[in-house]
Amino acid sequence: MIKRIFYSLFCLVFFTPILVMAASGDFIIQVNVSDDFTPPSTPTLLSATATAATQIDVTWSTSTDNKAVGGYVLLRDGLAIATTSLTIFSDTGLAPETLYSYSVYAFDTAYNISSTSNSLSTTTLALPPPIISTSTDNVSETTSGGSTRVVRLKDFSVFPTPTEATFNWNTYGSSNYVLRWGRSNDYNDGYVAGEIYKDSHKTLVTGLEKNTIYFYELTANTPSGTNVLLKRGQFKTEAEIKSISLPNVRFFSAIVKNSDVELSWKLPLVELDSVRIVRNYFGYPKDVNDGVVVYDGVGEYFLDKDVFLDKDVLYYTIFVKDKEGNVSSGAIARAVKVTSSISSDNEESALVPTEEIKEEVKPSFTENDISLKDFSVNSIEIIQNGNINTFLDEKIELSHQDTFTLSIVKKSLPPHLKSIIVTLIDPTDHRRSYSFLLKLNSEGTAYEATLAPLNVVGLSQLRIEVFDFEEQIVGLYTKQIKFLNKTQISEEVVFPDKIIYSFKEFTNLLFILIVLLIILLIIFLLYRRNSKEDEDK
Amino acid sequence: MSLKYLLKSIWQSAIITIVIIGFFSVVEADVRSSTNYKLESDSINFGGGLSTSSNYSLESTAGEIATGVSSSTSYSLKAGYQQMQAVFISITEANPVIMTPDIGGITGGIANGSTSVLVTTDSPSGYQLTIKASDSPAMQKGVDTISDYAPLANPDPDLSFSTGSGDAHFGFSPESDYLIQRWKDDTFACNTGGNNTALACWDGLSTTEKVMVQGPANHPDGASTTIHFRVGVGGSVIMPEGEYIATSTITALPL
Repeated sequence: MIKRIFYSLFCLVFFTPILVMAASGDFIIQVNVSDDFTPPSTPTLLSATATAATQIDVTWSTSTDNKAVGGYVLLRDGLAIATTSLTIFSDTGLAPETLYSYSVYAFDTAYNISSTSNSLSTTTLALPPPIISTSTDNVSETTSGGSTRVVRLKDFSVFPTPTEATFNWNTYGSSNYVLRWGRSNDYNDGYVAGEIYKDSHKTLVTGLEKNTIYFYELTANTPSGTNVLLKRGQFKTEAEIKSISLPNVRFFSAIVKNSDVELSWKLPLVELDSVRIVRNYFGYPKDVNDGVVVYDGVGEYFLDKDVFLDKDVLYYTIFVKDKEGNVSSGAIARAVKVTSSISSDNEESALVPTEEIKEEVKPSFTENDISLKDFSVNSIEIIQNGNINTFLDEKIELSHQDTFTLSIVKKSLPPHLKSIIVTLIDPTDHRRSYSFLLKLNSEGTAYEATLAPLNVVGLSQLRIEVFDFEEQIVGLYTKQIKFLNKTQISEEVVFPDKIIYSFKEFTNLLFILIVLLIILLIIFLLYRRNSKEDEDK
Repeated sequence: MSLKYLLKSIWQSAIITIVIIGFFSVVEADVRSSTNYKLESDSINFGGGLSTSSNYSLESTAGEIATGVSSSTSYSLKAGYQQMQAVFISITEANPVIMTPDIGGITGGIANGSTSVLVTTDSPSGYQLTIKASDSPAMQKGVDTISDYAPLANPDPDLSFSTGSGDAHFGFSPESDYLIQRWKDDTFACNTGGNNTALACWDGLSTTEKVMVQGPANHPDGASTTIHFRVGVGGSVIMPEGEYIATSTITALPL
């Protein structure tokens, strides 16, 4: 009998399948060694056309290179004004009736520089007295300076989503534009203006309410300064909500190095499609199309080169995008041109530059805060793992390794705001801070920003700044946040792992007891059997 | 007489106990492991078999329906024979790295590149991520090679990647929220402090596994690790022109 049991269990142990669990993958890393001292061919400046009193459009031919052309540098009166990979540039903000001279040179990926092209000069148009057209149709024709200029709308379309609307249109004749919109025909909810004179336009209107009718008015300025009404109409935003709140990147910073800006960030641990960095000269880009797209990819570093040629302050926003088209609210950083030292807002201009943050129970409103009229800080919510904290709470403690969302109920805020910025002090280095834009959520009920976990414990501070369209701070609120290592929460495993884990812990103890009991039982049974066998004999 | 029966019984029970313990070891998870593999479970199966190679492990079984791993953000379901004890682990494919810019063969220079992987596992003990090269030195072009980076702070990595005028070398620096201590820094040196400074702590690849990360269970979100690569060629080194390629393997192993 014992032999039979032993044989069966021997087979059981030695003829069972083995499951080896590991995942791996191969990939290559390649570096090219080559010497490239050959500059690209010299481009030819083709045209420099004055299209308005303040704008000249410049075009040039493409260059060729033995490796690859890196781009072009456009010079105005001998000074570099733009670096681009295109062969066209609209130079705006010029003085009327002024002569400007342009030339261009090319550079390759090894930064070899071509000779400078031929030079072309042109004079901007005269600034005419403004003429307002009151045409109510989408066709307008005006006369200026003895010549006839026509601006006619064509191919107009508007595509609303629950919270946004995309406008596309073309015009016969170049123009810039002003688009105004609102829930009544006063069009007083917002406006967007395009400064460049061209015949193809696209713009995105954001911050709309779902399932709502909006009225809009599209006007244009011709290069001769004539203001023309192109179209009035209305659209209705969609009711369906499909989007989700994506966390922003972590540790987004902009460090100025000479004329370059070094941008770095950490990707959030979510399934994302890419991140996009948008640059603007006038304020933080509010959406993925609000400015110059300087980076689109899945890396964590980018060097924005030669960006301080004619601007002293640059505003960057980095958005996280997923494959379903959802976009995060945006993390922001500002770069300021300096001559003697390295500067960036996120590195040096934090909220608490020198002193440490001392833990204290703060009142809900301090003397340093600025309160909006009829606004309660109870409307500011910090949500993590379903737990809701408000600025009225005595203290706020969050897990250091879980995503959290900052939300402000929309109806608690005034109707016309430009932007809301939330800034988080780095708990490990209070000289550093990270800022994010708040964006109207997909339901249109609250302004939200979802922040990826910093994965560090310590005392931090949240600062919320509310700006109006005059760029004035109309609301300022601060609150201490403590990030804790709540591993007991995060280490919880879900079914069925939890059962397995608990079962294994339990069986470790139970196993020894069972073995001992079995040994005693076997000894007892064998003792009885041996005794009986002997008695039978 | 009684003592004789007792001793005889104890001897017989000892044999049976050993067999029973062997039986229990079959149903206990994680029955065997080493640094390179782990046996999740032993079991009896019919009509199937086991196939393995360095890159995959395939086990076929018979008589199963609706088996496999299903998951959402709130649950993980393992259905079917042998599914209950198996640990789930996956790793995303690492994109090839083309380092930029090109390095001048006469002038020298520095080229950079990086790739990222996302490891997802429900292993209660977490996982380990390692990297190794197929060749030594890793970066090669026929008979021409670029040396693996040798840290000055050996056995610790170098905080900064330093290239002398006579150096031509290739190194890597991992970046993750779950780096092992060797790759952490205090902004002055590696293998000390708790910082995960980007582009800090450099070492060379080798044909033996180098552990970069030990992370916790993270299903279903996963955890990202970025590996930065850098080639530095000093100004007094003449490098033959061409494409130098290193083939590397990243392995994620449940603990």
